[in-house]
Amino acid sequence: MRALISHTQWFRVSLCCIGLVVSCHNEDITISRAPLTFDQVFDAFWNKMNTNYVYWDVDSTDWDGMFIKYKPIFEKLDLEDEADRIQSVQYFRDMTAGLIDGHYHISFRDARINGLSVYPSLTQRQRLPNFHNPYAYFKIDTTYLDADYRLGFDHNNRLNGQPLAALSGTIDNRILFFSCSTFSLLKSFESAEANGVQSVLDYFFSRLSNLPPDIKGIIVDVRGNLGGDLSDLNFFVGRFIDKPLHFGFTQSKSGNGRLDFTPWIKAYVNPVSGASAVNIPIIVLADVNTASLGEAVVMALKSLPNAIFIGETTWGATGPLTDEELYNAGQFEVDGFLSVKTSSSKFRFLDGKIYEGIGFPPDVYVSYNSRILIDGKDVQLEKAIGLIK
Amino acid sequence: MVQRCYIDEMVVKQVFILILLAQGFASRAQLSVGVGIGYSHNHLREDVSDRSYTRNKNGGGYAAYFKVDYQVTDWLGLRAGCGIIQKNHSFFRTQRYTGIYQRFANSYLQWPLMGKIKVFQKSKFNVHATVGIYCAYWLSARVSGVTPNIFNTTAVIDEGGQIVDYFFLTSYSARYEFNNVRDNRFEFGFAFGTEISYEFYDKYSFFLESNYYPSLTDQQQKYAINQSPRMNRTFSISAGCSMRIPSER
Repeated sequence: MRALISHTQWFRVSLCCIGLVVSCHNEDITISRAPLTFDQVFDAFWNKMNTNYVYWDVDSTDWDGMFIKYKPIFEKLDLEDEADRIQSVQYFRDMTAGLIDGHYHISFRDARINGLSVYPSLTQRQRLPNFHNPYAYFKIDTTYLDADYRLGFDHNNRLNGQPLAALSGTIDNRILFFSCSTFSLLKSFESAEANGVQSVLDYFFSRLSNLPPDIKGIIVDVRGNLGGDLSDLNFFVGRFIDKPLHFGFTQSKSGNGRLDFTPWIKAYVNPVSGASAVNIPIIVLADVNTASLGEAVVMALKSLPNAIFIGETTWGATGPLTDEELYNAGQFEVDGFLSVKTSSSKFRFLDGKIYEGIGFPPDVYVSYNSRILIDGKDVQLEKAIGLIK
Repeated sequence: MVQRCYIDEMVVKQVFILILLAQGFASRAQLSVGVGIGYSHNHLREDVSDRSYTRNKNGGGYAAYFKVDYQVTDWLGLRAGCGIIQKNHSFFRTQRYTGIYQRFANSYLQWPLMGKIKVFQKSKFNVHATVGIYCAYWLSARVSGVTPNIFNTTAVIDEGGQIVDYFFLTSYSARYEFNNVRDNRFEFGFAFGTEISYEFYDKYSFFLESNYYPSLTDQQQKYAINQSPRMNRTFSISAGCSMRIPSER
């Protein structure tokens, strides 16, 4: 299969436009109404999953079995009964417990249950022996950096209540280091309001584009990075390359059939204008809490011949997300009741494997050790430093 | 489970008996063979109303076949045939998604079996109506199209500070990979047609015919609950030449 990129055709999607689209009365848009019964809620949810979920060819969940088992149960629930609403959350949890989509998340719009959610991959990961909560490595990693490091925050750019944190510096004047807590770098960089992340990025990008001769390698630390804006892939990784980097393939739904898929389309990172190819060793640090765009950055850098990955197997949320209209797939809502976040496309790495629900494995496995961290030692970073001669 | 093209055994026996009975009219029975080539126009009947900004579009293709006519009486005959017919279709996006589409070029090996009734004759012109059934096998397919590439973007910051991702459109063309769970490669349906023919040199005739093949079977296996059916409705128009094979009696 040959995929051609049209240089003259492009297509605009903006989250701020979606509201305009769905409010237009148009023969192309089905006007949805809030469901009146739990049976309607179930039908809307089950059918949308049937058409929109992109992993049915690789996910072992018996979705027809869920219909047979849970439709009679939902028919007996009363949408006006608060206890039934709370019980329904557990039923949704049970139905989706085995889904492999690392992004899959149900949040409830109904006021009486909107504090509850369903997050199958978190439940699955918590059962793994190596699971641990995210750790703010920048607190320790500053002790490894030379004195002129830059640490900055953007308090106007938050994820899960935490500000975006970025750290860059050199180690023994021979290694260039960068880490960020989430991928919303472009937003902070271009923000009209001054923030600490801008100076960190200026520091890192200026050295990356004109590498000092003493720098023998680069460490990119995305441990605990839960991902973020798709645009950061080009904005960040695009500074390591001077031509488009093919790092995998995507596939989305092509029809309403559960197994209707497009052919695999090549996925690229595009270079930033004026960027030069980085030819010195690149070491990526990632762990079990590296997810979504964090994993895409890991896999993109791993596509370079001079990069290796140290740390732990990542989360396994590799499918990208965009709004439902673009592919008639992925995330959807059951009006007035729940909202489902799920991948819009499948992603397959260059090696032909789909790492969704599994996680991307490291080249060198170094596990998280909280006791050593308490002593102020970052063994994963030390392994990376040791590999750069 | 594979759904086979199934013609009721009783129907087959009855057709066979009809054919054997036709031997009783041997003095009038005439066999002719012919080849034809033409254009096919297919509509894939599927409900896409719940897919935003999406339309179903008919597809044009070719048809090429040979046929055997067995004239039982002056006005009644039987026809059997075998040929390749394309049953193409596409889906395209509208309005703000214009430019995005997916096209399927499907080739079927098809065997119609029809009764043939003469409805008009003047001099060497004949008009026949045909009605019957067909069986077909989905031989091969190719899928092509244009889709937004989610990992090939360029970003712009708008006046409100929002990041706007522009997706490059990527074109593709690939051999369709059949899936034993999803695809029903056997098709069965009715066949209706009309034929205008002109005889020349006693045993040859040119013909122009149109046929309509509405499928009774889904293009998919029944592999999921609440599956939306997908049925071909194929129209063809073709021209060709037939030759009468003299009877040995």
